[in-house]
Amino acid sequence: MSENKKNNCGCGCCGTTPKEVLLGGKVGAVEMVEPGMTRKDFFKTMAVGALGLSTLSVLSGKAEASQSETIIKGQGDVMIVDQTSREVRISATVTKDASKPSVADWGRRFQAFFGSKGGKMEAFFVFTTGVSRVDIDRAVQQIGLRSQRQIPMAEVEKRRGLKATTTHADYLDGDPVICTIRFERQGKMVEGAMEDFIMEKIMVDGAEVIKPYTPHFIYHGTGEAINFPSGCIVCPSDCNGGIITDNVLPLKTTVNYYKINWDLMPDVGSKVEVVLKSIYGPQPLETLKA
Amino acid sequence: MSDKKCSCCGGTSKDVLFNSNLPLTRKNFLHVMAAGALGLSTLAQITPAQASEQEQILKGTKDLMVIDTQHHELRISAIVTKDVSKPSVGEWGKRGQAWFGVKGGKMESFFVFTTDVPRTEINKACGAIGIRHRRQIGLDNVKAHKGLKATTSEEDYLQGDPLVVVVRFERDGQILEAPLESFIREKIKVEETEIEKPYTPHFVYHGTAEEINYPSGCVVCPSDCPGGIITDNVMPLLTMDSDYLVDWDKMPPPGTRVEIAIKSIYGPQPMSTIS
Repeated sequence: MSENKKNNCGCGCCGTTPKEVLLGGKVGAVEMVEPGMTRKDFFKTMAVGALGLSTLSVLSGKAEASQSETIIKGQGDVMIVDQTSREVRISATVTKDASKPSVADWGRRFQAFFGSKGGKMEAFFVFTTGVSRVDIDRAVQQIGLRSQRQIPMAEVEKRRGLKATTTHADYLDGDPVICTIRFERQGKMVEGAMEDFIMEKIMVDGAEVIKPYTPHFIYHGTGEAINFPSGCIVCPSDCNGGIITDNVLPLKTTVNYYKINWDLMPDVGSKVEVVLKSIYGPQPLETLKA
Repeated sequence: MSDKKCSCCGGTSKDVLFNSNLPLTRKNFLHVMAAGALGLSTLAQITPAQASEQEQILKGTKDLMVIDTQHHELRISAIVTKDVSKPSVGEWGKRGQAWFGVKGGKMESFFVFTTDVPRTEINKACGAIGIRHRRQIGLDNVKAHKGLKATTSEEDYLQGDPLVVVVRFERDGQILEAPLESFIREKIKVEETEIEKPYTPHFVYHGTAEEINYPSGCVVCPSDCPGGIITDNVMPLLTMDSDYLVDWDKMPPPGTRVEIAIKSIYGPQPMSTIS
């Protein structure tokens, strides 16, 4: 003990100080260098170094994987921008205003089914998120989604509706998107496409025909490009007021009727996850390189 | 192993290698612990290697399919093929036969993307990544269900999980990737006038052809055709109102190798924004 005290609290088993033990030798550059590096120490250093270096390749992969996800927080909701899967996952709440078309009864609409809190059209949404549309628009571009045709509000009258003079220029266009809804029911995860929760009715020879809702969702981004504060994100009827729409028919063609299927929908107030999946993905052309 | 003493430390090479002539001091113990901890710390980082275990590779004759169960998608190599005698290939035409299909199938000459990975395997792989069908219509029921009419109901549409079909290839050393619909033009009639519009399919997985063992080879079809396993169900069964034309200005040249990706509604880390 006394010797330890003398040696500045030397270790009981090896006689060195805690600092020396921690730093691997006697303290001070001179004393560290003085004995020279033996082959034993050299191998030891090499072995530990090699072990350390061996982690780098693994570490970089992992770091990239976790760095490939960005989390953005909104009011009570979050968005994960997944650069590996090239998808955006956004939490939202199920909302229901039965006075709006297509919510409680058949109706025509172009306002979004999924939108951001605070937007002018908020009361129309059945999936509402606290993440801002500005952030969502930026995120979908970050995962690679591209717009091919935006149509400003000033051109709506000229381009709306399906007619004998309709051309490509009358359709919003861009990369297609799949929109998934996920939620928990009785402890089990339920996931379906957005269209699974909506019914569609069309007129055929004067008769009403109920059919599956078969949207072709594309990213056009007009709502953000023209700074239109609707809050709309995923819309029917090729509407240019949001950023993603169904472009099966030309701009703002509101001939079809829609109705939310509340038998399949999660309860009002439920938290859901809305996923916007792009055409892009991991390891492109992997099958050609093998 | 040499017993010759080392000139710098006085131990044998075995002593150096195994450190056998030294008692375990706290210093050495901490060395070992530090090296061990460093080694153990890599284990958590090695976890992503399991990601590659979530990919299964299935080989055809020349082509292969990657079943990515992590991202819930399939990637299948194929080749661009062109038989201008078939409808929609050299000229506008109506068709139910697939755009993308399998070599050896009855409808092979119709396909513009052809793979030699068997359709049975592609169908099985769709199931493996979680894609589900909801309505199949057998060929003996076609007459009752085909075409859009005043009596059409939901039962007249093939149904299942929606999909996006992506085509990828290299041009001038760059990867080009676009949805299948980008390579196909569509024409419809409005008030007796033909208008051209973007091709806007709603592809769903229905799996009928495998269920009924129909050897068309068709995989991804237009016109809600039950003869393949994936189809565009915007219109009811085998509704051939639209005309199509493959856009060879955008298509890679015949013979080019491409990758077809089939992306599902499912994906990694479900509910991660909520839990």
